[in-house]
Amino acid sequence: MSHLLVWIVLLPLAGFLFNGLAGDRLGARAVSLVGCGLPIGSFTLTVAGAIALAAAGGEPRVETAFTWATVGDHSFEVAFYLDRLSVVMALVVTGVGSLIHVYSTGYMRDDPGYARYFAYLNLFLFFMLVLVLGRSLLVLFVGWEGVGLASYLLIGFWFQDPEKARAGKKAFITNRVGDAGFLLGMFVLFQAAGTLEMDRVNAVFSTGAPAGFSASLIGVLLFVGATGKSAQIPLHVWLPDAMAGPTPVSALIHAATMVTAGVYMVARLSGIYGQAPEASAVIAAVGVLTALFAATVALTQNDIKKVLAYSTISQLGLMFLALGVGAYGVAVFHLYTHAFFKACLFLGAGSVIHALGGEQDIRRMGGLARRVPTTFATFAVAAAAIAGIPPLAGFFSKDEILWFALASRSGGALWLWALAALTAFLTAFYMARLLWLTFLAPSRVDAETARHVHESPRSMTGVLIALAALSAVGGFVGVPHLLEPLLPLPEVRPGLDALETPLVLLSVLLAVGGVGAAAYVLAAGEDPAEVFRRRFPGLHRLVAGKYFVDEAYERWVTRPLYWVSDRVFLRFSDRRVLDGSLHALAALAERSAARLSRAQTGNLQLYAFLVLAGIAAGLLWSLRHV
Amino acid sequence: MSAETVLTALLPEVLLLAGLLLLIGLEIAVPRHRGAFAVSLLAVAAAAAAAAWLSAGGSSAAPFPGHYSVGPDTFAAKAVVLALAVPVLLLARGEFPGGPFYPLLVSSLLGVCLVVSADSFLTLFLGVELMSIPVYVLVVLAFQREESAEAALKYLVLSGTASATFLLGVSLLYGGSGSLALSAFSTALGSRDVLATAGVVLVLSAFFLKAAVVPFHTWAPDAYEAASVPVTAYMAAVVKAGVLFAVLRLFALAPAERPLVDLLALLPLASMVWGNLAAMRQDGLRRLIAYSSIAHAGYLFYAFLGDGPGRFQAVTFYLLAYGLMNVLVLAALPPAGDDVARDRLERLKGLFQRQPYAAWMIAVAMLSLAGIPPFPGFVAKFLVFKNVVAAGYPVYAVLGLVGSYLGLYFYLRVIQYLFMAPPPPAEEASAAEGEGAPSRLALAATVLCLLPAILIALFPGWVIDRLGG
Amino acid sequence: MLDNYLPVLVFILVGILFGVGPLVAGFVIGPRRPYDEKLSPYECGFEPFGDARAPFDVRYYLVAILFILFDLEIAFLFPWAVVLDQIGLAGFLAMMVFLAILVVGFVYEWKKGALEWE
Repeated sequence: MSHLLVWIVLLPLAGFLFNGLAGDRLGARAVSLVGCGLPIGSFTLTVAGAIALAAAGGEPRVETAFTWATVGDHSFEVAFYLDRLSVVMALVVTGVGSLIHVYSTGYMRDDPGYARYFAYLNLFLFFMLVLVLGRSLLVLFVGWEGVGLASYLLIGFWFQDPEKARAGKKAFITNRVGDAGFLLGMFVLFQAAGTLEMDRVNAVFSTGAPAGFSASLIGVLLFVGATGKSAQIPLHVWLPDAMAGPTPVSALIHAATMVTAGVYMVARLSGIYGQAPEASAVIAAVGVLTALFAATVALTQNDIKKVLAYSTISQLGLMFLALGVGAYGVAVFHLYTHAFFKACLFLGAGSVIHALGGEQDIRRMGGLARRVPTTFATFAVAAAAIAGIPPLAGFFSKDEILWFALASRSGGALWLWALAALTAFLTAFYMARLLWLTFLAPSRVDAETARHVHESPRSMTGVLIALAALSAVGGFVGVPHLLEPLLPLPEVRPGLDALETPLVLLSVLLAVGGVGAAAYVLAAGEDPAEVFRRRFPGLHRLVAGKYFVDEAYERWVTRPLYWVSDRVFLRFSDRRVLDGSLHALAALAERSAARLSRAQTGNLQLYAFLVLAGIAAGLLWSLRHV
Repeated sequence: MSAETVLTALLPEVLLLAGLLLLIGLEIAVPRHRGAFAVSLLAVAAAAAAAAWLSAGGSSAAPFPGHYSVGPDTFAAKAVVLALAVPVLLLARGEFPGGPFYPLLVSSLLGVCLVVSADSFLTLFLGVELMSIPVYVLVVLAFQREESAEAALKYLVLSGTASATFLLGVSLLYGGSGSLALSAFSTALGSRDVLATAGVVLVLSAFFLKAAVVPFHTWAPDAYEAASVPVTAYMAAVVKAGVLFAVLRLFALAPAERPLVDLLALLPLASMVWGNLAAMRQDGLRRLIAYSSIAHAGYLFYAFLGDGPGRFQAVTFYLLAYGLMNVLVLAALPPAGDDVARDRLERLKGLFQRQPYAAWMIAVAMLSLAGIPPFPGFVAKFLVFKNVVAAGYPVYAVLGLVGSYLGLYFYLRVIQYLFMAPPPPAEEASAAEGEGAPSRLALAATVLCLLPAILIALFPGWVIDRLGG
Repeated sequence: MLDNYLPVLVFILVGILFGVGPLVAGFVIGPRRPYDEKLSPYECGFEPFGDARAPFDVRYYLVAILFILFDLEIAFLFPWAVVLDQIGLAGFLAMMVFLAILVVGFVYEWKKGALEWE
């Protein structure tokens, strides 16, 4: 098939069109068939593509769909590109995506918006594949924006609840803040490299940045975009709120695929980042700080989905850490294992929520291990995987990240390793707490709900089992080594080779220690979060309040804006507005808008005065320079 | 120069004029005739086709040397403007069964064509006035409300101020150069002379006012709101295009230089911020479009920071994308019992459940206006900002992007109303009752906007190539 | 550059002088011996009735504007008439087209009743 990649991308789009236009009329059966069938078709084609790629010895496959725009001497083509990196990503997206589509047929069965849901989900898959397979950064950007749109539609899927609709908007706007940086990075990159096709960009940068351009500037600008999409500090605020969407959506978009787009983009452009040590240092620092920050917050959360959301932010931070120290293949490896176990965890959480009739607070769960055994077993496997218990998938990828954080010659450092190790310990700890309080602790479910607890239908449990299996054995695929011809691993700092084996043992110890420490507290019948609150009330307030980032944005962004007339402040605070949450933006905007509307009095004399004042000011300003 | 070449060069204008005379003749000869719509539609469509054909043929001529010339670029610009007027006419059918609307619209279009081809200040002035004066009357034609007359008067007075400012600026430029050719403006751009600079600033201020750039924008919200829907569409899409083409003619290929750069950056920047912020508070769709158009005037003038050849492409493409989307919103707006009710944003709540097609159309237009890929508005903004960066003003590009993100809030609010808000409560059901499906002509108008929009979204390269430069 | 504008300045000054000068002169050199009768408004010998500042009928403006419109065409006709022998048939036809367009407008305004006072 000569248009393999085009078909991979187009199948989900066909699903979107079908379900969006005709789904409501044709009934749930047709919707499920088309909505799941086409993604599975896409997956099958991707597998075919992977086999062809392997047969071709990893020679990239390029398909030009059509020439989109010619500006000056440069033409932007919509071309798709399948190489070692994008094939891994495409397999994850279509594979996990298909599984989650199947799961959704059970989870969303009784929802009145069934067809609309599948239409959006297919739409998401289409844009995600555009993002992954696009050869040019511009095509990637179209996908990038598109997944944002689909995510916005899905977070706000139950829009009758204004809180949820607002969460959708917050996600969208925070993301667009990052996109501003992304777009600028793209402009500068285009000036520098003369092309946006990523393989050519990497080739241009392979011999250093073009004269007069700083690779680090480009790198940081693009990374700003990644912080938005992949929920890194300081643009992480949207992801926890995004849990308002249906749980399979959280699993697919906000854990397995979309949020990893930033990681993928950086790995895709490794040519630039290889020449940008400053940008890489920034990425590593932001990554490790985000990882630690989110892991501490996850300790104190009581909403099952919020715990998982912060855990996602934390794991994404680890991936960025790996990118920052030049271990691109390792980051993609963790991306790949994370997709399995985090999707499994989210879907398991969905199954629990489903069983409990909508309950999400882990303080009102417990004792579910026997009632929903399949869910429990799969959840436990995935939790052990993320905690880093060998030989499950998470162990391999996380261990390699820790190793390169310390040993990489391009930016590895002791402090990076120490913070990452602490994160790994905390991860094991909070996952153990989550598992215990949900499934093993004495039941705190009220009697009425308890009577209705039931295991989920087979469409859901089957998917859970599949994902749990992948979480268990997925680590044995040596993704970094498959990617090595494309993304070579960084050299190891001299003298550290001997440490490799002891460090592996240490990471096992960290994982087991985390679980053990949690078990020690939990076995005494106490919630570690409670203990923490009792012992260190001040610190707990800070952590449980998510370090008051939302509040800080609200306060620090709004106040300086009274000084709008000051130009420096204008520029400064605008940055901050953009960094800020939607609330702050809205409050500020409302206030300025009110002020501006007051100028619109309807009084003609005032209007004329403004006009004359404008002309006079223009004249004065210009004549100053003559 | 033979009469034939002259007539060919003037073909779009001649067709418009013939239509105009026919309209007036009909009005005189046949009482209560119903042919005005058909005649004007025919004339405008024929003129648009002629312009497109001539542009593709690459013909150029100067039928009135020194005052009026045509080339592929000008024909392309005329084709864009006239093509935008076609869906506007389709919208008008329901609102204006006959009467002065049609002759006024056609003569205003004639003015736009004149502007696009002007080579001297005299022609330019004539064109701008011929374009604007009918619009004052068009605003007043929505006579259901008293505000219409008031808004039209404001528009008239402020526009008159602009004309006076323009003439004063031109007289200064003429004094300096001794020439009425438009090139006097572009040569004055690089000048350090007091008179020349003052002349340039005055002329530019006049066009800032006509295009509604802060702080000269004050007439726009009132006028857009007071006018009836097709007139609002006409002002937003066609008149704005005419003004920008006038500025394009003025600048020709000359680069913007200091101190003008600051003026060309700061006021448009203020427009983006002001327009986008003020739009958040609006609860009427037309006022919202007015503020959005103020912001878009900012982006459009930003293009002049860029270099010459890219400028024409960027501005023309932008005008096309932006005009199509504005007309699309207004065409998809479901009709209602009365004009004020039709305008209320609240009424869009839950429109998706009632009229999915209309909701999708409005959503597409909003996303495009917000500049989100892959909608055409994104390509348009991309071209503008790319030129700004390429011309060496990255700081202004950053500030502009920041300004443009402020606009997201209200575009998304509309989408939220369409898809994510429950339909209006029961007591408003009466208001919703008057809501009918869009007329067949309005549907045709949406298609006429949507198809080219899809085309330019899929093949912007093809369009940009056609725009020469 | 600015000295190009000297004639304009002179013209403005002369204009102002021409308008203001006589008034000032009258004010300065005219004898002033006011008494009641002299200060009262004078209206052709009879007692004044009504305010002198009567509003104009709005129709007046309409007629005035239309007058200006058609008056201005003379500005085209005069130079045209002077060079008619040089521009030949083409020039003649061009002016006829112009006048024809104008006539259409004229008939239109007539038909619409813009010229009727009542």
